[in-house]
Amino acid sequence: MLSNTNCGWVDGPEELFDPLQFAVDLEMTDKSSDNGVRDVNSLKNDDRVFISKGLITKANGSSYVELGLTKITCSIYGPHETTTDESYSKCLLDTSIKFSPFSRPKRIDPLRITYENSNEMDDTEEAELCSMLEECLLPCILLHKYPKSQIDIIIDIIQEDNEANLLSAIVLSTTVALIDACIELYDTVVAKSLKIDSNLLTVCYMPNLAQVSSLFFDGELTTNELDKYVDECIKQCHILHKAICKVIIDDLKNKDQESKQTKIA
Amino acid sequence: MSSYYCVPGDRLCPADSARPGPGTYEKQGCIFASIAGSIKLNLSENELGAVSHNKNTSNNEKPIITVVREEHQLAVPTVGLLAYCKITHVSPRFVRCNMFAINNQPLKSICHGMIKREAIDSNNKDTVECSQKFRPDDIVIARIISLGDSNSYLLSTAEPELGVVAARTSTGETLVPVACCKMRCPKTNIIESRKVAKIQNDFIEETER
Amino acid sequence: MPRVPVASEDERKFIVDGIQSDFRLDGRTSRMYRPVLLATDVVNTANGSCLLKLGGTIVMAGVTFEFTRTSQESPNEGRIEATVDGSGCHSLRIFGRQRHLFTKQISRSLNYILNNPKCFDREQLCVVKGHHCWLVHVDISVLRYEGNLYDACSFAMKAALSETKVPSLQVTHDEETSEVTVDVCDDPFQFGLLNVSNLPVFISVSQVSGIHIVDTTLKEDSVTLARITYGVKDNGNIVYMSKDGGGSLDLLNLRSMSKVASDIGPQMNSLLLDKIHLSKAKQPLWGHVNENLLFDDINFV
Repeated sequence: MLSNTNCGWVDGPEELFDPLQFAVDLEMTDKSSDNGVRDVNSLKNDDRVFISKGLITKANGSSYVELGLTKITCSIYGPHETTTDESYSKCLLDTSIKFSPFSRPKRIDPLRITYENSNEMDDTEEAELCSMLEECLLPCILLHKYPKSQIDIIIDIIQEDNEANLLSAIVLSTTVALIDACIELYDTVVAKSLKIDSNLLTVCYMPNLAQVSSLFFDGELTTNELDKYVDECIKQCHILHKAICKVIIDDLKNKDQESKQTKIA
Repeated sequence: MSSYYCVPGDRLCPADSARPGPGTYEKQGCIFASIAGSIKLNLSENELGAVSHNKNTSNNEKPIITVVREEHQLAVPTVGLLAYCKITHVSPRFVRCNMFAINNQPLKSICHGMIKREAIDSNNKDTVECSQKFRPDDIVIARIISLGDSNSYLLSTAEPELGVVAARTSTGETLVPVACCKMRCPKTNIIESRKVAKIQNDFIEETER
Repeated sequence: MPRVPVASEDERKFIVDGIQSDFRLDGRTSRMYRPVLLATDVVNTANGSCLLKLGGTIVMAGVTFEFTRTSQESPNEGRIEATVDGSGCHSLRIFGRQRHLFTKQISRSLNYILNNPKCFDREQLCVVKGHHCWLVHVDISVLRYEGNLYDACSFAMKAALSETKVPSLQVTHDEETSEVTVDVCDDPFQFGLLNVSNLPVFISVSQVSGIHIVDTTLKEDSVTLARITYGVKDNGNIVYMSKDGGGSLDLLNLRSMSKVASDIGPQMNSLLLDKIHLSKAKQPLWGHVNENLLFDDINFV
């Protein structure tokens, strides 16, 4: 059929499909996916969560999270032997966050390479998110259990909905991936951002220990208003925490049943 | 038996009714889960041989609470654990090796180890010749004595139970241990010198834990 | 934050015990800052500058102006950016990438408050609406580090910006060709000033075993569990907040820390304003050539 393949000319696929066919298919898998949960309790589109794990099988642990329209994958490699001389008593975290070029309405140039030693280029949003994420994770990993080790956290932002959701989704996906990778944690950390008027507040919270692991605020508020905002964030964090717990425990149950069935067989 | 599942941070029980085992940690008088998995309560005391040396303490009566996840068990090289390694390089002053398993748990990625000349044998430390003790590609069981520098962990085989567990001749024949420092090729009866591990029954139990 | 290993467990205990009995290593109470010394207009080549000493921490801030086009997103606003450079400072104790990340974090925080419309009015940097504006660089270099770089940098930035001389311009609009020409005035004594009355200062509150202290030194940093940096305006409102230090905090601590910050913020703001005025009054006393200008504490206020 393809007579002119030698000159590098491709006529296109041999079969044709109706584009709607894919759309229907997508919806079907969405509904039937068994290890994810869509929290439809909250009606606001911004707050809908979808969590699934074990997406990237090569990684030690991985997750895929949708929060509103923000879509993020996270994969964890390690703990593995570190090559740096910094500290041996504790584990090092190496986070890298990458926006995909199509994650925003305006294209993000992937060639905007961030060299480590250059002074001008590396102050990107990615670097800032990395340092925020590390600050949030440091208090909740049992770092002393992994001496002379390093955990690599790699995050891909596939689609960004709004600025307020982003850090929250990143923390959520990292937590699920860390749990999937079986890395020992003090608590399941969740984050929630609130954006009211021009005030942006992000709180990373550990619900069981009732500890705030990291927070960030930009805007203007009095201390009393700020306290109210923090309370509201923490309330939302509890809802997210329930969603994570449900996904993970369902997943554990499913895996256990599968292994029992294979044993019987 | 139905099992209970937990996620990291779930409060399992107060600290005075059980002892924290793997997958848990103790804080503020409570035991919390640190990984996601099913909760196991270890009641029988016969299995607690690992802590037999402090048998007379009252701690021992409490059950050990652990969180287990079958498909994922992470091994992290820690000081004092036993490592299985493969010798990669033999030089007059030290031996380099790749660790591939810790305490019978395979490692996700290999770790680099180094056995110094002084740490090979417990007697005649100064006259040891590395090439008379190990050859490249030998499988060795060794104890991690230090986290070492940025390149490698420091290992030791200066115990009778540690040393070569499997080796081959240059032609690929499996060597058979005959003495604590000798191995013989079953085909040609050539004796090669090695630091052979004296594997005993109670030692096998230790590695299995 | 850079952590210096303190000699021993005993020394750590000594520091913590001192903090708990409200008597810190240098005799301060938990809510006291080290003495702030500053001198403005110390560099002739910069439009505005400030050398600031916060105890042993010394930072130098310089403000320079650059003429540029307005951006499409905000046609009636100028641009301003701060950079913190610690590459020449050995007492920072951390090296390479870690040091770079640390100073970058501070410059990021400074940029957050500079670009917050409630803190700094960037419309005053616009020259011709939709055409030309100023790009203001605030470059801060760390000369010596002995803890609390966040606060020192923000003090220096505010002092430098408040004494910055904005070059005056003559804008002529040609009605026929609708061309805009901008000329810089030749008279060096003609200049404008920036309005920085709303600019906040950073107040870093650290938690050491349940006690909240401000302005930690290097040794106190090594026993600090968590630290929150607040940007506080002169009316006590909080405009910026971020955490570092790698520990976690409960809600009660969080509340009392923000109270501490909003109490101290206005005090530090007014102290800084006083010092800036005093420094201006003291400048004529310096004379023309004073080699020891930057080393003599007499020249500071």
